[in-house]
Amino acid sequence: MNEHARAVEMLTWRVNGRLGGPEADWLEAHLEGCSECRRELAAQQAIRDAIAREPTVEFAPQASFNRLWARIEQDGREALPPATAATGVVTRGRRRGWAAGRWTRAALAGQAVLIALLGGALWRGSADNRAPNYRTVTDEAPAPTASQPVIKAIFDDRVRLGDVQDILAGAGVTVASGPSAAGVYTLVAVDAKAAPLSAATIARLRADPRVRFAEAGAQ
Amino acid sequence: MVAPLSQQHQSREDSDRRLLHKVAAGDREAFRELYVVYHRRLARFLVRLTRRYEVAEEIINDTLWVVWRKAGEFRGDSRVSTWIMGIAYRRALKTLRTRGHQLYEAVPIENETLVAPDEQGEAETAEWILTAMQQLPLEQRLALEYAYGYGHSCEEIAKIMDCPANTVKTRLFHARAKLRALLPQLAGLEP
Repeated sequence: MNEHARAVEMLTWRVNGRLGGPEADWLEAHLEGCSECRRELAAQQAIRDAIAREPTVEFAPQASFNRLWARIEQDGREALPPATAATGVVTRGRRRGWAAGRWTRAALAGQAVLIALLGGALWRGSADNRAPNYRTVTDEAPAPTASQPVIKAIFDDRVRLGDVQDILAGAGVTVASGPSAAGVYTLVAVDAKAAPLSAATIARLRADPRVRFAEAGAQ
Repeated sequence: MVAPLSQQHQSREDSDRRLLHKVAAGDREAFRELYVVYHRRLARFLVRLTRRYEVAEEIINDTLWVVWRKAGEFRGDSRVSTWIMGIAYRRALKTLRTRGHQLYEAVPIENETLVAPDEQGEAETAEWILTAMQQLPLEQRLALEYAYGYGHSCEEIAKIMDCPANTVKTRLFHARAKLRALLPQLAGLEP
């Protein structure tokens, strides 16, 4: 590349303020003696000024933001199973769109009571689980019955299959169905007789940073 | 050599990072603040690109929706603006291509120039340049916007457009050549 072509290539970054160091010094020296490059510089400055011009129309970012936020809250409602959407959720780590709506804060107050009630229901329900009727990722068993306790869970986006298996094994649960379109898994106990679902199971899942959401749910 | 960011740009980057960190933690107010900042930065260029505000807003909201969901995945290996512009770039291409060619494809003008009045002021020159830019292929227009409108370095533009740095240089070269062909007076501007 000859000296002039090299200078022309640098002009863009000189015009937008991103050329520095010895190259900037070299270019300034070249410009001193090259009228063609000075004209090219003026042309590129005109392009920059044209692009940088403020628009004549006024934008309304707040109204646009309100529309986006409504969409985020709508995503959140759709991502949750009805039972939990109506009563609120606990999230771990970074909250996402579905966890940041006003309903979340409003529902948090009643959540502790709910968990206690659901936990009790799980304990009681587990006594009737003599023959778990669900499918796992490796068999074709039918889905859990309406009365069978389940946990609804969402894993972090970055979690891999191996991690999911590790999480499930650690909590003594397996996948009955899912993920739904919203990424929600329905989990059931691996051995409902020996280790039925409990509040402790949910707590264990929530303690895992790879789990974004875990809550007792309904089929 | 790429110059370090100016104090103004560095301050903007620091502010963007603080906001993005809060957004990653689910802070709605920080998200609103970041939204307003990027709405302003993106709207001007997207309205120019699409010529329709509602399409520009759709792209902006798609972009910021991704930012809300993926804020925690930003690793800090580029400027926040480079990251967000990359998202906006992909969303813009997708939206424009979904909506049909008439929104973004140049109407070819062969052997023709856009003749501006002899006695034109700075504002008129700018208008002619922006009009001429609409004749450029999309990738060339975008390269001009990123370089001259947003002050991105060649490497940053390559990252945004997911292409080699040499491709960025080629797009800029052809864009300027086409503008000169459309606007002969561009070459006659006094330094």
